[in-house]
Amino acid sequence: MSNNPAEEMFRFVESVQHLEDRGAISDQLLRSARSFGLMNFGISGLPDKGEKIDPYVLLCGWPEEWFARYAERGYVHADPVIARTRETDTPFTWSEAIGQRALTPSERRTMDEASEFRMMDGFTVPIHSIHGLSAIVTFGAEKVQLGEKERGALHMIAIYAHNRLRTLPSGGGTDNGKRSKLTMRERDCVLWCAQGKTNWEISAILGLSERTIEAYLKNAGVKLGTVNRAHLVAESIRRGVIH
Amino acid sequence: MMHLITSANVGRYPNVMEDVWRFRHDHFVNRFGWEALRKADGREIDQFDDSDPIHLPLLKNGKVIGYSRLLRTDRPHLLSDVYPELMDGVPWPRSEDVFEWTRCVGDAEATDEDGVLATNLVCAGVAEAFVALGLRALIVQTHPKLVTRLLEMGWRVHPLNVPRPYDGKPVAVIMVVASPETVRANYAMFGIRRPVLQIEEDLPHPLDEATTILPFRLDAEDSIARTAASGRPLSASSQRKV
Repeated sequence: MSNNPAEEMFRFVESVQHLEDRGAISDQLLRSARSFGLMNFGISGLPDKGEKIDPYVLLCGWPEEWFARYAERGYVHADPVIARTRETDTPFTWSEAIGQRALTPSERRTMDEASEFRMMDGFTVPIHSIHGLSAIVTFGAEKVQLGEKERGALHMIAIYAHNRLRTLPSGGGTDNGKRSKLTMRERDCVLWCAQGKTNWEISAILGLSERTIEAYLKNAGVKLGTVNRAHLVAESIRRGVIH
Repeated sequence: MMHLITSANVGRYPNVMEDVWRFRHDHFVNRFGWEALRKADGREIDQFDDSDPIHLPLLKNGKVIGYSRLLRTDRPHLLSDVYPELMDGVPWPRSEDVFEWTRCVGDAEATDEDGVLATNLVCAGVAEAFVALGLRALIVQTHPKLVTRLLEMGWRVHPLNVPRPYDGKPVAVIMVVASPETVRANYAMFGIRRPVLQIEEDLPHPLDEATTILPFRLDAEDSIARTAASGRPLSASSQRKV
């Protein structure tokens, strides 16, 4: 257990912003996690119903065999920790998440199998971006013993770890980098564009001026590096901006 | 359009300020449930509104749709007088060019003419005010989740202490710094096409009359500037790099 949670938080926050690759971030995060009595961790976006978790993973510090099983069998959709993450913006321990309600048999199995890998408990931080709940930073442990200050420090450490991974120059797995991030409005316009609507029609649908729609589509084009309307739609689909 | 209101020009805005007190009450008391701020007359005014704050109301057609307040840290502010325990006795940056960012809010549905949400305009406007006034830093007491958002919006964010629960939710004390890059990042992210903050040309700098306020301007080479439809010609002074 760390003697001084604030010092450990400052150390991590200061060091992580200079790190340029996942391995180094992983090492620093492991060091911090251990100082709080935690064993391992994962950082990931949250897949929608029926999707696999693999492309959402930003950093995987789990035992290899466990994560292979978790991904293969789609445990993310039967995981009470993930379910709780979708309901709160406050960090929580796994036992708090489990203790709150009766688990379904498949949720019970996920937790039982995690404990086969010595993860009897854990601590989880939901990450909220401008676009809403966007990721989870979660730590596994045999036993979680965290006071108020340790929880606070880990909350901040998780936020900075996630942010650094998100902004790595190489981009990460699921993230095509900042340039390609469209605002919700831009994405809406591209979606209607893909339906064959003209700017005038989109402006009527969204209740905005035609000039505004033109500007949104222009910005979207700049962000995705496209040359015309058809190219913008094609590139948006290719990058998964729209489906 | 966001306005910069200091003790030097507050007299010109009697109606806006009246709207500000009611807007703050509507949002912080009625919408967010901060019962400690409830006032019988529906005007949310606290003791810090007397210590020379900077008001940043966002107006649309003369009506307040967003707001933030900057308090001087060399005078009483929330961290010094309301919850100093958040710092566990450790001192925090206090000087005339460090302000405390409080009462940040935007009407959830309101947008400007381009469809940009009031909340996003408020954030961009505060970054513009930071740059225009040449501030060193802002301190903020907030839910830690907002650290992710501030980082996304291009602020430099430094924690000042570990977050702790306050009324059942974690609260962090952080120090944030903006630059012209932050403003540009906000414009790009939210589709903002022209400066949000409007500063009266004769307004003296709130800290030092000899210092000039340098409003943020888009550089001429900025593609957004070329498409800006504000109708205002780019004068030599407005192309000055800040």
